[in-house]
Order: sequence, then C-alpha cells, then structure tokens
Amino acid sequence: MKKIESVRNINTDRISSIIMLIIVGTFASQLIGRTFTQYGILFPKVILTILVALSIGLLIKSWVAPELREISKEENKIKIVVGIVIMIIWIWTISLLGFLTSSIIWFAVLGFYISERKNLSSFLFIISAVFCMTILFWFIFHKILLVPFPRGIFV
Amino acid sequence: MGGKNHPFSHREGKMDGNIYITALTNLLNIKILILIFLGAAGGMVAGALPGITATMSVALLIPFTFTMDPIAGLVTLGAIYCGAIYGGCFSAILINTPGTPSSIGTCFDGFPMAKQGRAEEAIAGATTASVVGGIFGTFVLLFLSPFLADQALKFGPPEYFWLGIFGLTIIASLTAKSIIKGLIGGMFGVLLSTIGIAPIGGDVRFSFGQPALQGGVSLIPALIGFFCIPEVLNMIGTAHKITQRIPLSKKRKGVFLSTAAKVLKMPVTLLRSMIIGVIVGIIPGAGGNIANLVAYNETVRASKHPEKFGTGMLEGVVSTESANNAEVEGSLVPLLTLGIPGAPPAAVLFGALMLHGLRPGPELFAVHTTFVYTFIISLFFANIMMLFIGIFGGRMMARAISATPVKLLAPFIVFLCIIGSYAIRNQMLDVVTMFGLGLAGYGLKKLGFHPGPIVLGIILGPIIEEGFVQSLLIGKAWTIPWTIFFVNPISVILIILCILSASWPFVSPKIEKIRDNLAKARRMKRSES
Amino acid sequence: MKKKILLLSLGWILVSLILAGLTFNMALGAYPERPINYIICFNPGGESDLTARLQQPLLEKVLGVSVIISYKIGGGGALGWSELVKAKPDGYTIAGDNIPHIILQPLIRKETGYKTEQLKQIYCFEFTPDVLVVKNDSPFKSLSDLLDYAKKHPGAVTLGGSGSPSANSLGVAKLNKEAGVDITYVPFTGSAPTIPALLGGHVTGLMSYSTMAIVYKKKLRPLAVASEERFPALPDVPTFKELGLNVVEGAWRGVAAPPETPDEIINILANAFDKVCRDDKFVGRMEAMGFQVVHWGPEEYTKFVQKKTEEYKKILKELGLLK
Repeated sequence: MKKIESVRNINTDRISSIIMLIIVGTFASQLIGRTFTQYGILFPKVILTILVALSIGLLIKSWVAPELREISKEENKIKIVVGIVIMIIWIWTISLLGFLTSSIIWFAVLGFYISERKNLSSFLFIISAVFCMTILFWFIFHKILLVPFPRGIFV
Repeated sequence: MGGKNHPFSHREGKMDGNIYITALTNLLNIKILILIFLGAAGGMVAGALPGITATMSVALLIPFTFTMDPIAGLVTLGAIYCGAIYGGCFSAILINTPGTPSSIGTCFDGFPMAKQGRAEEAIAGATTASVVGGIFGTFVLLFLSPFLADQALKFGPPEYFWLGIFGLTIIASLTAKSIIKGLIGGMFGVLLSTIGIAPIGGDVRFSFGQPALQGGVSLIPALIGFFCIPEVLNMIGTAHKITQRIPLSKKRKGVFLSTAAKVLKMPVTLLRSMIIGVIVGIIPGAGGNIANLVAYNETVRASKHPEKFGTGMLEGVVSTESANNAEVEGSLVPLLTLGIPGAPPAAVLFGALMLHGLRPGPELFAVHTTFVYTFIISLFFANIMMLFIGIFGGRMMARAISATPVKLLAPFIVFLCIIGSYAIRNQMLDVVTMFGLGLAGYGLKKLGFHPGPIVLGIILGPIIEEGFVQSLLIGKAWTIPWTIFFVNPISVILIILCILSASWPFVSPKIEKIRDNLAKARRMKRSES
Repeated sequence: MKKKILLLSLGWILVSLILAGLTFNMALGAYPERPINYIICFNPGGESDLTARLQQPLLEKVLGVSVIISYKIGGGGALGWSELVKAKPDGYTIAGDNIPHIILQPLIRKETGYKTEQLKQIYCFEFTPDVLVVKNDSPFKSLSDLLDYAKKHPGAVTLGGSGSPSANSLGVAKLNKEAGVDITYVPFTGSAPTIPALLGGHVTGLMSYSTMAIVYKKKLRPLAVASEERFPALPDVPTFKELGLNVVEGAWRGVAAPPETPDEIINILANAFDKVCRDDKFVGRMEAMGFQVVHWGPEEYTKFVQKKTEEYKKILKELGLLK
C-alpha cells in the first residue's frame, strides 16, 4: 500500500514576523521601570527599533509575496518530541545525579529509543558502547583537562 | 619601513642569512619536533571538539609548558594554536558543528559535502587549504610584519564600527533568497549579544532577573546550539529511513592527492582568502572569528556560480579554511612587533611569554632575535605536521563517523554538545542556553532562517556597539560629532566595501544579465560574419 | 557471538564501575587533601590570570595538593563571584577578586548575584595604581600641559581605560573633579585594546594601570601615578598628590572564599598565599610586570574592603551613579 505523504504549506513569513514581534516585545518590556545610563541603552534601543521595522516589513510581505514552505510528514515527529524530552531530562538530572551517571543513563536511553531493533543484544551493544564513550570523554575532560563537572548523588 | 628602530633591523646591519640558519638548527632537534607534533595533534583534537576553542586549548596547556624552556614552550603553544584552528574543520564537516568559531563558514559547504558522501574530499580540501594558508601567513609574519602592524594601528573605534557593519553585509550573500529573514536573523543575533553588561556605562541589560545572564549569551553555546542540535533532531526524525547519516564515501585511493591538486588549482580563491585572513588577524579588535566568513563571502561574490555555494562546493571549504589558518599568523604580527595580540589566542600567548619573563614587543626582536625567528619558523613545521596528521587522521575520523549508527551517533553528539558548552565557563547555564537556542534554531530553520546570520550578529554585535559608542564619546567635542565616522580614509574604504557587499545580491543578477547579453551579442556577431 | 557480546559488555561495565568508584572522594582528614579550584573571573592572558599562574606552582608546593585554575568569565567578574558565593564553603573553591569591582558592582547593578560582604576575603597580594599615560611623541610633556589644554578645550581630551565603571573610570572622574576639567573617558573592554587605540592616535591618552605603563614602557610617557607615594617601578613619575590633586585610585587583587568558609581554612590559605607572595622570585617577576606586591591577611583585607566601600558609596553618590 502506497503511503500518501501529505504536504502542508505554511506561511512562514507570517509566523516568523509575529514570533519576532513577540520576542521584541519581551525584550522591550525589560526596559521599562529601570534606569539606564545614556550610552548603556542607546544601542539596544536602536536594534529593537530596526527589528520592529523589519518584522513589520516581513508581516507585510507575508500578505503580498509570501514564501510558502512545505512541512513534509517524512520525519517521525513523535520520535523527535520524545527525543527532546529525553534530552531535557538528561540536562536536568546532571546536577541531581552527577554528570557521568546521568550521561550514561540518558545516553543509553536515547540510543535505545532511536534504535530500530529493540532486543537484548542491541541493548547490550548500546550499553557497552555508551560506557566506553562516556567514560573515555569524561576521563579526558575531567582528569586531564581538569574541568570540574557537576556532582550529584553520584559522580 | 627600515631604519634603526625597525624591529627587524639587526644591530650591525649585516644581512642575516645566519639568523635563519640558527633558527633552523634550533628547530631540527628531536625533542622540539616531537613537541611541535604533539602540539599540532593535541591542538587539532581540541579544536575538533565543539566547545573547546583555540583560546582555551592554548590556555589549558600553558601549565604543561612551565617545565620547558621558553622556546620549547612557546613553539608548542604556537603549534597548538595552528592545530586548533585547523581542527575545527573536522566537526564542521562531519557533524555540522564548528569546532571553533573560526570554522563556522566551513559548515556551509563542508557538511553538505559530507552528506553527499564526499566527507573525505572535504577534509582533504580543508587540510590542504589550512596548510597553504598557514604557510602563507608565516611568510607574511616573517617578512611583512612591521609594515602591516603600523597599518593596523590606524584602526580606531569608527573603523571597527564600519568593519562590524561590513561583517553584517555578509548576510546578504548567505541569504540571497530571503534577505529580509537574514537581516532579521542578524539583528536578532545582535540583540542577543546586548544581553549582559553594557560596554559603556556598565548597565545590566536584558538579564530578566537572572544574575547568570550578566555574562550574556556566550558564543560557543549559541554556535553549538544553532548548528548542531537541529541536525541531531533531524537525525532522530529520519532514523527510520536511513541507518547511516554520513554515507561512506566509495573507497577510492588517492582522494587526498586529487583533492589537493584541485585545491592548488584555485590560486585566486586561495590568495584572496589568505590575504583576508591575514588582514583580519592583524586588526586587533576584529577577533579572528570573522576571517573565514569574510573570505567565504568574497569567494561567493567573485564566483561565476554563487548560487551553488551552500550545496557542497569545495571552493567554499577552501576559502574558509585557508583564511582561518592565515589569520593565526596574522594575529601574531602585532603581537610580535608591537606587543599587542591580534586575537584572543594570541593574547594567551602574550601571557605565556610574560610568564616566561619575556616581554612581547619591539624589544623582543632586538634582544631575543633568535628566539623570535625560531618561533616563527616553527610555525612552518607545525603546518607541515598538520598536513600529515590530517591525511591520516582525517580519513580515520570520516570513516569512524560514517560507521557509527545513528542510534549511537545522535546521542553521542548530544553528549559532546553538553560537555562542550559546559567546559567553557563551567556553567550549567551554558548547557541550558545551548539546548534552548538549539531548539529555537530547529524551529527557526523550519521557518526558513539560516543560522549563519544569527551567529554573525552575536559575534559582531559587541564590535559594532563598542565602535559606535566609543566613537560618539570621542567625537563629543567635535563640531559635528557624527562626522567622526567618515573622516579616516580607512573608514571611507570600509564604507565603500559595505555598500558593494550589501548591494551585491541586487546588483549581481543585473551584471550577470549584462554579461550574458554581451556574450550573446558576440556570438551573434560571429555567426553573422 | 551473542555470548561474546554479553561477556564483553559485562566486562566493560565492571571496569567502568571500578574506575568510577576510584574517583569517589571521601572528605576525611586534614585540609587540604583534594585539589583546590582557583577560579579566575577574567580572560586568560590578563593580569589576574598571569598572577594566578605565577602563584600556582608555589601554592602547590606549600599546600601539598594541586591547584587547578579554571575560568568563569563574564559580567566583569560578576559571573565568577556570584558562583563563588554559592559554592560549598569547604575551602576547595576559591576565586581571585578585584577591588573596586567587587564593591562597585553590587552598588551600581541590581542583580549582581552576590554582595560585597559575602566574599570572605583571604588575602590581598597586589596593587596596580592608575597611571595617566600619553604617547612617547605626544606634545604633552607633563600633567599640567594636558590639564591646561583640557581647560581650554572641554571634552576634547579623551582618556581611554578599561571598564566602566572601574578604577580607571573613577580615576578620570576624580581628576575631572579635582582639576575642574572636562575630560572624556572612553571605556574599552579590558586594558589590552586601549594600547592600540592610544598608539594609533585615536585617544589623547590613557588612564590605565601601572602594568600597561611598564609593559609598554618604550612607547608610553607616564604623566602621573594615582598612588599615595611614588610607584617604585616608575620612580621619575610624580603622583597626582604631589601635583596637588587628590587622586588615588587603582586596582587591588586578592583571593576570596565562599561566605561560610571556616576561619581555620581561611587561615591555612592565607598563610599559604603569604609564603608564596614573599617568595623572592615571585615578587621579582610581579614587579617586572608592573605590579606592586602587597601582603594583607584576612583581617586587613576585610577592613580595607569595608573602608573602600564607604569611600566608593560617597563618590558614586556625588557622581549620581548609586542605584
């Protein structure tokens, strides 16, 4: 059965310009209610103004001559989202569990999740490769280059 | 240019072929050669790891040089510097992450080449270009230093401002198809660079209440995030389609030699890029990171097929890598002649010299002439070592990366990204920044934003701002303050370059048309006659 | 084949666990018995970095453990100091600190992440007074030449310096007040960029540190030093005070620990730094680079910080910079 890959066209110009205007607004909100020296705030104000002008220009363009981009369904979006979640948890637990431990755990989890074949030998292969790679690099960075990694419950 | 106070004039005035021979004999001893080799190799590995910059590589290895005598120590550090700048190309080509900011431009064409199975060709090209660039730079350092250093002093705050603006015009070439998005990206990058302490006034800007943001957005996490994370996410998303991300190039013998030959057949590109690299290196405030981008930009503009860049043009890789390695020696020009470092790694070398009790500057030449010449000539050796290490190491690395299945490669890259962004300032915040910007970069890519302009903005923002505000301060007492931006001849030259560079995407299709019409007219005339 | 993989994996896991276990540290025994982390809050190659690297081998000898230099750069040092006050007060994390930075920043900025008092001072080892320099071939041969010109052309004389606000900027502010002139201070990020700016003629002079005046001795003409007495390495240069202007300003560098660090540990570290900073070779090298070596222990340094805090509060109020 042939898979029909649906293609959606989205108006990236409109979305980008709106997002950028929101970003400018967030930054600009940091300017109210604080005192700044004359020269300290001159440049950021100029940049914010230019950004607003460009964003409005892009917004206008999104009606006049929009650039439509395809978002294809070729990518496995679920895998990407779960992957991002795993990475977030990985970074978050670095200070909890310690750098090396959290890296080993989540590196292996991510690897196993991505892997197509989920059986025991694949799992063992991943685990041993993970151990080799993480310990090697941890050793180079921590013991030779003396970078102080965060410690948690474990190393 | 000559004369008694000339750093290169030796007391008795006799022409010293001797000095070169003495320097060479100093270098041709096994211990020094091994140190150069280890330095170059170590530098390459450090440079290839995203997050470890050339500056850090040199700084981290200074303590090891304490136990050596000054010349051995300095020669080693010089080799590390050369190697680190070269090493950045590996991760740029293989995983689309510049190993050092000097290799940002190498990603643009290097990574597409790798995706097409031409990773070895890209690495071979980068190696050849780097070595040629380094050797060219060393010649410049050896013979042209004093003259060039004096010219570099003519750059004041207004000139730095225009230099920064010129850097921003590169955006026009990178994003010819959607300039407005490129400009927005660039300005967004500049905005990000303003987070933190204002250079004038010391205000804390946009810290959103977080003390850790006083330090601003560090460049390296931004680089790693914008270039690397989107690729990793792509890998994860398409893992079900292909098992290998970087296709194994067909086993052809002699990839290296044939690529090296191709590179040497691009003398104009090489020369132009290397000259740009040296110039950027010499100018103290320019930093060195932008050498590869300016060179890339000029190569694109001068090419007959500018639209092909970004799809895997060897010429792109050649221009960036020759420029950044020429910049290494360029940054040493003001260091050795005036005692002013031309780029942050050179500043670390400055510190190393001081620690060994040697004060860089004109005195160094007069008092320690042999030392200086030995150091400069050692750079030739370092570059040649890079060639050999690159021939073998490069192939190994390319094969290793191709052979790694995505399920291991993707998390491994994430692991490297985390380590790399942490190692800069030992801050978890940088890791979070890296990842946050990475996700943002992924989204931005989907929306049609190229990461290059954003990163350019982050790099150039401080240069532009400082130049701008310092010029205003200096010009405060002038009759018409803002004329300070237009007075110096160098400013004028830079302004003209900016206009040329910025208008290029609009002007060049017209020039193409004119060229085509002329060619057509010529052909018609020939067929008529 | 499967069995081989299994055995190999188990073997690797075992080896790795052993390696990892060996690095578990049990903090027993006398201090110090682990490597000490010496944080530098400024760029490598800078003055703080050079000082630390000169101290490092001597410290390692005296304390008997390795001393690891790491960098936490950003916010003019604020990033490093805000991390320091959050670090464990077990004596294994110390950071170089600088006056006036640690005093000015919390007074002027809202969210520095640390307070001056939180830094537990261990030792102060160097002083670099402000020095007003011009180019060697400048028409200004003395301070009075420069001040006369400044009086006639308000705003035209520009003095470059490092940082804003900083010892350099305050030096110029004090000079303006004392001499009744209007000299424009042009800040640069660090002392290094000021030199090409001066040599290229983009600024009239610099209000920089003594280290710059010494390192670039052949190209610069120092006009005055902002210390109480003449600077030993610049014996022919008058002080501002001698010339009738009460301008005393400069940077002091020392080392500090997190707030709750026990006094015994502070004393051990202070004694170690004292021994290092009295070493002849160390003093010789530092003075050759333009530093004036100082020997202040924890109490003296802390008192000095308090004194300077009051002084800067007054000055900043006068200049209208206090938040």
